[in-house]
Amino acid sequence: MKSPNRHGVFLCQGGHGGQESLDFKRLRWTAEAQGVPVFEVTQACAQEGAAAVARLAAEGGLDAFILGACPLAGPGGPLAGELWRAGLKPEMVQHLDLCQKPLGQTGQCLVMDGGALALDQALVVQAARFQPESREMEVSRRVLVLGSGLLALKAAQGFLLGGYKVLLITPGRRLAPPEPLLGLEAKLEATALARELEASERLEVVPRGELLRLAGSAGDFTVTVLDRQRRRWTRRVGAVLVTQGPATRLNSGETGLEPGPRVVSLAELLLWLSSPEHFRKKLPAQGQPRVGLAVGLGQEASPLSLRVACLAARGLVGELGAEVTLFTGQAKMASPDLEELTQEVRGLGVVFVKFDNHRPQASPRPDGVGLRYFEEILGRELSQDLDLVAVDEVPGPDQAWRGLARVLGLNVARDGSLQPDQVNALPTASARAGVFLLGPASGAWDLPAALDQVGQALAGARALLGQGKARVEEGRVRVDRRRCAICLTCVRVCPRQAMDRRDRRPAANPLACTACGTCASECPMEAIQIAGQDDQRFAREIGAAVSKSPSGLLAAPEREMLVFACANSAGPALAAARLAGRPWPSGVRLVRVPCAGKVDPAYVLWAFQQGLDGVLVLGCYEDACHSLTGGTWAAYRAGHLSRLLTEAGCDPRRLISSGVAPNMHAQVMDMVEQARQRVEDLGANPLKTQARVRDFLSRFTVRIDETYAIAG
Amino acid sequence: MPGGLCLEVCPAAAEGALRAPLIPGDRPRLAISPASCLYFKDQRSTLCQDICPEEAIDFDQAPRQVEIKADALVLATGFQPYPAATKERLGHGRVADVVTALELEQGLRDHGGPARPSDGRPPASVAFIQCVGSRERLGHNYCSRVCCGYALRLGRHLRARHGVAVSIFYMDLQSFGHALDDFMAAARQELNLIRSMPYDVYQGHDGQVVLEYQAVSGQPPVKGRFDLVVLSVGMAPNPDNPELAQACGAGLDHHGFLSSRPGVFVAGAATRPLDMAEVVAQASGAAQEALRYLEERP
Ligand SMILES: Cc1cc2nc3c(=O)[nH]c(=O)nc-3n(C[C@H](O)[C@H](O)[C@H](O)COP(=O)(O)OP(=O)(O)OC[C@H]3O[C@@H](n4cnc5c(N)ncnc54)[C@H](O)[C@@H]3O)c2cc1C
Ligand code: SF4
Ligand code: SF4
Ligand code: SF4
Repeated sequence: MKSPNRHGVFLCQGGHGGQESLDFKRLRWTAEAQGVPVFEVTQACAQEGAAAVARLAAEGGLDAFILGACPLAGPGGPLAGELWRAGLKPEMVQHLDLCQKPLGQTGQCLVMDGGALALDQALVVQAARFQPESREMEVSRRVLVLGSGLLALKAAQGFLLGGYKVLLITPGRRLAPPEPLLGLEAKLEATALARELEASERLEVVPRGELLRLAGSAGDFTVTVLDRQRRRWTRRVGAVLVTQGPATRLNSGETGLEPGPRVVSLAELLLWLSSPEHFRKKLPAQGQPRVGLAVGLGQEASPLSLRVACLAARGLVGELGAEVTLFTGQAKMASPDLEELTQEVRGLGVVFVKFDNHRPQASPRPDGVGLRYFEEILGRELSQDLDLVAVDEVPGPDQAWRGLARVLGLNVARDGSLQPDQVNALPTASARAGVFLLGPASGAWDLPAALDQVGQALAGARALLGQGKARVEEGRVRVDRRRCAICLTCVRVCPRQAMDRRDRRPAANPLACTACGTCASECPMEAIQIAGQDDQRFAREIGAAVSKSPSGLLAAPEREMLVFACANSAGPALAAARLAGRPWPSGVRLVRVPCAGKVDPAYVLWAFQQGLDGVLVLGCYEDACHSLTGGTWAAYRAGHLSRLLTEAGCDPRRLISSGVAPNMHAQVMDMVEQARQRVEDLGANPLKTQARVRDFLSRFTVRIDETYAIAG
Repeated sequence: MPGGLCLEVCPAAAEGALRAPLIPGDRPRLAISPASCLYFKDQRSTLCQDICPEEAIDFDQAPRQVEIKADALVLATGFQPYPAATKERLGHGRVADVVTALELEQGLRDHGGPARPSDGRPPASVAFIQCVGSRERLGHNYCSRVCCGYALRLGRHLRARHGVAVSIFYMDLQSFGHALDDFMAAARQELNLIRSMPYDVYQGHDGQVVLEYQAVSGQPPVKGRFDLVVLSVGMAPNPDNPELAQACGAGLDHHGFLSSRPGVFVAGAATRPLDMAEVVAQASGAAQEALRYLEERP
């Protein structure tokens, strides 16, 4: 690990070079005071200006530099291309938005109020800039697959073809796919696949096995398995694919359709239909059998249920000449060719009864089921006697599934899946890096969608494991062994379960860690630092955000507030708002954090102690958080901090914590403005004057020391 | 406003003739939209071409053929939002305050709130009509999968952020994803959900749009009045898919969507209606297939 030693600052003078304002001079002095070389350019938002920046950076042999300019010169501007052309990397530039309102190449840019403070902050960040060294990490090329249905087999096939080893745990006695809902075709395909795979030497099947433990983290898991002979053994695997789903129950809702000889599941009905002769004996000997199919009358169903119901209806009419009524809540049609299948089934005489606000009521009959219901389209009560009713299924309360979730370190979501309750979670992603979810485990019960996921999970696992070696960045998260009390808070709070225990000590697995900083904020011993984002840097950045002008001692000071902006949500939203020309309000300073989880409560307290009048924390919404728990931590800490601030005699309304999405450029500046307005109304932080005096005196003291030093 | 001399001189920039994305790093930084660019109307305005110091704009650029050798091909050409104007009955293009959901979303993005095209005022009541260009026996005979979800989300957004009274006319509500039952319960509370498809849309006398629909069969039709009507357009196959399939050797299904063949891999909504997350899943699968194809080739 090294930090670059040659820094520089480029300051753009806007459209008109040479006309130096006092504000611009202040910027230059600020940089020079830190001993950093300053380069002045014009029109960094234009090709020519950007080319000049790149040339100077190359000639000066800089490792990294700050470009203070308008947002137009920022990411997306011409500089990145020019740096490439000059043989430099675009990552070396840290863009600093310094212009009150971007005016383009024709106007003269006005330096933003507080620009010098912002530059001061940026210099702190620059000094802490971290260039990670990468190293190779040994990863296991064995993959654990849980389940033996079509999805599991397809995934296993993909891995075997890619040269990986597969450990497959199946609940069955051998590698034979369970009876699939979609009937014969899927069954045949899965059986053929199972035969083909069984021949592979790199496939190890554990029949009637159980996963007892999953230790370690992405690329380097250790699984403990209990096999049919009740023996326990372990294997090292790099990734885990979960393809099975929770057990199911009848989706009867409030209809009173209780399971019994006349009320069965759709899956069972399909099974009966595979031998119609046998099935016929279960129905009354005389007359046309009357069968009801119920879909989505309790919970919202999936298109799979409707598809199965249609296939069953087709069989019932074709094989048994039955009279079929299909009762549905919202008919979920959104699956390939399902619309056409329902039309075909209707053409066979199957009657669809749809319910929006009502539900049928069942009452048992001696040899069947009676259904009474309000037909919403006709607007009247109807009733029907049926010989048999088949009901769709939804995930049920399942102890075994909860147990598996615990072993995997995941939570069971409300839809029965193991996915995080996050709207932006991709289909196969789980909260634990290296664990992938397929089909029912990810809430996708419908086969076409689930089959699409196989490819994504393969791609994800292959990107992780590669050819057995992965390139990772070294030392991003450092745990100080002398400080660590092995309380394992970090292991518990890490949203990606990246904190491993090596030699009983916590250590972040760089393959899984996203450097969100949540662990660093929560560690009670302050033992964790994120390289380039350490506490020292933020303390200095916050300190730099407070105006050092002693004028506040005499006159009423201007309100100053700080915005902590999460790089995943508030960052892009603010950048886009600036690009759209929204001016930056005066007295507001920005501190960028990798995630709201990185906003240590100590930072907020420190900010108030330093004399800032208000703090706004902008992170992701709780259910749309890019590092899963950042928004939740921000909300939780805001509550906690409010109590602390009240106790300290500081109005808790000075702290505002809010969720924002990266596309909310139209709203985010209003949020900042509202926060600023509130702080304005609340008046000066009572600690402000004290802080100013302290700061003023400390600077004075330094001067004296320096004088002595020189004299000595 | 994002920079660019062209953007400053363009007289039709406000109509979207020149667009600049607001997400830093998005490419292209500036793009001309032929739909509203004046040059594409009558070849008169070449202001941007004249002022651009980089000579980056060239209206006279002639198409040229480029030959590229490739071992495999990925088609990720997507879909087209169903062209709503072809449904004369539903009033798009005929009644000013009938817009597509896409137009509504663009308005929300550009102006931060909903506005009626006729007078620019924010609507107090909005009706969504579902299944526009989907689920029709004699047309696109499939469900587009995303429109119910986006209409419910837009409806809840309009109500929560802009205090709009929202009605949604539908056949069956398709909605997928996490915490679905909670989402649907909230939507039922906040929105007026009407299971009926309006069969006529016309301009009312009071500046509102009138929708006629049957609430209960056998009873007289109901006339609903709304400030704005939004058509929830479906995902239609690109019109040039047949030629594309022919030229590249991809498969074409009876709806007009594409499918993979050895060496030609179709990714995303070009295969069938999918939402964003599913597109990502499907496309990484297609990439995976392409990779395997390349690995297995002699
Ligand atoms: C009104 C509306 C609202 C929606 N809302 C949501 C939502 O809220 N959430 C959600 O998840 N999904 C939503 N969707 C669906 C979402 O838009 C699609 O899932 C997604 O855009 C599909 O991505 P894609 O890349 O496959 O296709 P596209 O987005 O269509 O991209 C295809 C690209 O290929 C280009 N192209 C086409 N033909 C050619 C050619 N011959 N040569 C070269 N390039 C070509 C096109 O210009 C385009 O850039 C919505 C759809 C609609 C219509
Ligand atoms: S939270 Fe801190 S003290 Fe506790 S185990 Fe982790 S590093 Fe050690
Ligand atoms: S930085 Fe975030 S992802 Fe990395 S170990 Fe800490 S909590 Fe986990
Ligand atoms: S998603 Fe909804 S609106 Fe769209 S086609 Fe399907 S049912 Fe109609």
